[in-house]
Amino acid sequence: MKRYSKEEMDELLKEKSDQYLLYPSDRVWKNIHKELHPSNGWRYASLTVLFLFIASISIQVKKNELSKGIMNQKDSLYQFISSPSSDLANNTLRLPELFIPVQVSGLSKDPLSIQQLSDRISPAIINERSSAFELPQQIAGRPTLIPTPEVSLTAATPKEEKKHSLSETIDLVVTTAKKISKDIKWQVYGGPSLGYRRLEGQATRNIYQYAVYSLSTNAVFARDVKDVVNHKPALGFELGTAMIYPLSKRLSIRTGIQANYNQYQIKAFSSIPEIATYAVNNSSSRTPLSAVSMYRNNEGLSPATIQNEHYMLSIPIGLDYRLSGNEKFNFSVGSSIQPTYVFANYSYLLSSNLQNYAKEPSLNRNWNINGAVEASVNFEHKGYRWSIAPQFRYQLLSSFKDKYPVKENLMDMGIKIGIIKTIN
Amino acid sequence: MTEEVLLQGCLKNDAYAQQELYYKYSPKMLSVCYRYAKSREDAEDMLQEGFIKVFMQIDKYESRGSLEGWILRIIVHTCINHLKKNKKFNEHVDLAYAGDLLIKEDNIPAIMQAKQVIECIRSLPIGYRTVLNLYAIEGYSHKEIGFMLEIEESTSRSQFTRAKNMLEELLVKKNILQPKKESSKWLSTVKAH
Repeated sequence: MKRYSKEEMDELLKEKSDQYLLYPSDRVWKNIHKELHPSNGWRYASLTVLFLFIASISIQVKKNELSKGIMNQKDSLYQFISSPSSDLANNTLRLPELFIPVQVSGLSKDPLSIQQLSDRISPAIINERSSAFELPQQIAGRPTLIPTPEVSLTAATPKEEKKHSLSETIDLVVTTAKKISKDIKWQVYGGPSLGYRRLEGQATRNIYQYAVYSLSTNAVFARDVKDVVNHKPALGFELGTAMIYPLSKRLSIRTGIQANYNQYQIKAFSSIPEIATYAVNNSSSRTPLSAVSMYRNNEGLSPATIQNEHYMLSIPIGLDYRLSGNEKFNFSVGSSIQPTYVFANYSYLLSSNLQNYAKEPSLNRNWNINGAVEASVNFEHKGYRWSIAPQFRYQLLSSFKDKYPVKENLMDMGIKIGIIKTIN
Repeated sequence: MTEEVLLQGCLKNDAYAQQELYYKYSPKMLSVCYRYAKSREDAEDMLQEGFIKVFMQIDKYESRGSLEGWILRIIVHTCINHLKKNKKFNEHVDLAYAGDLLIKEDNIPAIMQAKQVIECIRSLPIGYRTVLNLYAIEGYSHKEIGFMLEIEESTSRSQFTRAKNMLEELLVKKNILQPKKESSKWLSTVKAH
């Protein structure tokens, strides 16, 4: 080991500082990247939460409006029903033989019998054609009976009051549910789609190097993985059923369940069995993953087409907005967020050296989120409402787990044909 | 990719170009941060903060000096600001700390001379270490150091002198520096007793 003199100390410090290099952990770049390029996934998640919040408030407001209407309707039953047999001439008022709870002002909350009521009422004018009778507002300082549309049950006995509340509540709930269900529309839909993917990944040497294990790429000059891959769209389909509830004349909320099949094709070459290696960004392990590959990206035995397939189930939650038209024929736009479960994934992944394709299921993500937008033409025909909608669906998170440096976002473009039926 | 191409990409906020630039300069910059920081984690935090500033202010780079030099200046300033948040550069505090200075032999791996030198620098008190780094390695003047650390120029000079003496002792102990003949005699006398 060379020993420096004190005179050489200044040079020593600079020289050794320049020689000394430290390699940062992966989290540093991740955090820098997050700061410079905030993830859109969180924005969509926030929008979804906001949308659900607004939708739930709208539904609650509509429920309250319905329940008030029902209350008003019921109240009319409690209005005093005039008796055609009233004898005005004798200043007597024969009240119907039923207990009528009315809102009483100025009285205690003790229950009053009809007789007591009739004793207190002075001559009154009865309108036989109306369901209520008019009373003077004040009868010589005595408490005044005021029939009002907003009837409370203060004049009823406690036991009977409770009974009415329970039955009323049950009636209210049932009526509200019926009312809401009357407005719900059910839709069954399906249609073909063209599946493809957006690929992003770094092809340079740096990403795949480790201190003791380094992989060389044969495409160090390629800017991105997508520049070295040859892939094309392929036919898929979508099937689903949805429940549509109108929030207003133009705006509806929809949800349901949907199945999607997405596929795209990769042009490759068949080869003899080789080992495909996947270097992953995992600070706890520096050992890459390996899989057996029967396909090469470039130059193999013979040309081959690989089909990457994804089978998905999702629960779309979305909004539809009618832009123009009427109930019989209209044009609307819609969007939805679709939490998705990939229940089957038959896809080949490109190895880190960009040479081989193999299946590595441990790198596949099972849960994902999709977003979709559509513009639909809706019309009535033979008793059914039809909907034809060109649609674009995009997978918001990568198909692969974060530790795999390559990112894939599936997309589908298709035509959705739906039948809408209101079920009472 | 040439530096010019990387620069153009970073100006367009291209993630790929940013990553390339980061990978190119991060090893050197992390070692700079490591000389100022208390620990590896602190050094990485400084590096992260520094590079975010680099990318956010990349449009202010005027191509007068080298890009590496410009990035280095931002990183150094970030390190200083980071230290300022946690430690006041107080001469009296540093002197008191210097008296209790212990070198943790088990933390200094004997692999390479460069690493040993860096670790010796890091074992100095924070004020001494910072001034030494800025003057002897980064090449700032005492006037500039005084402005950055909000201390007097004379304080910077005296701290540098003390830092250098302390570092010399450490490097002699590590057998990286040759001791003076007189002191080696003195040391051998001490050892004998």
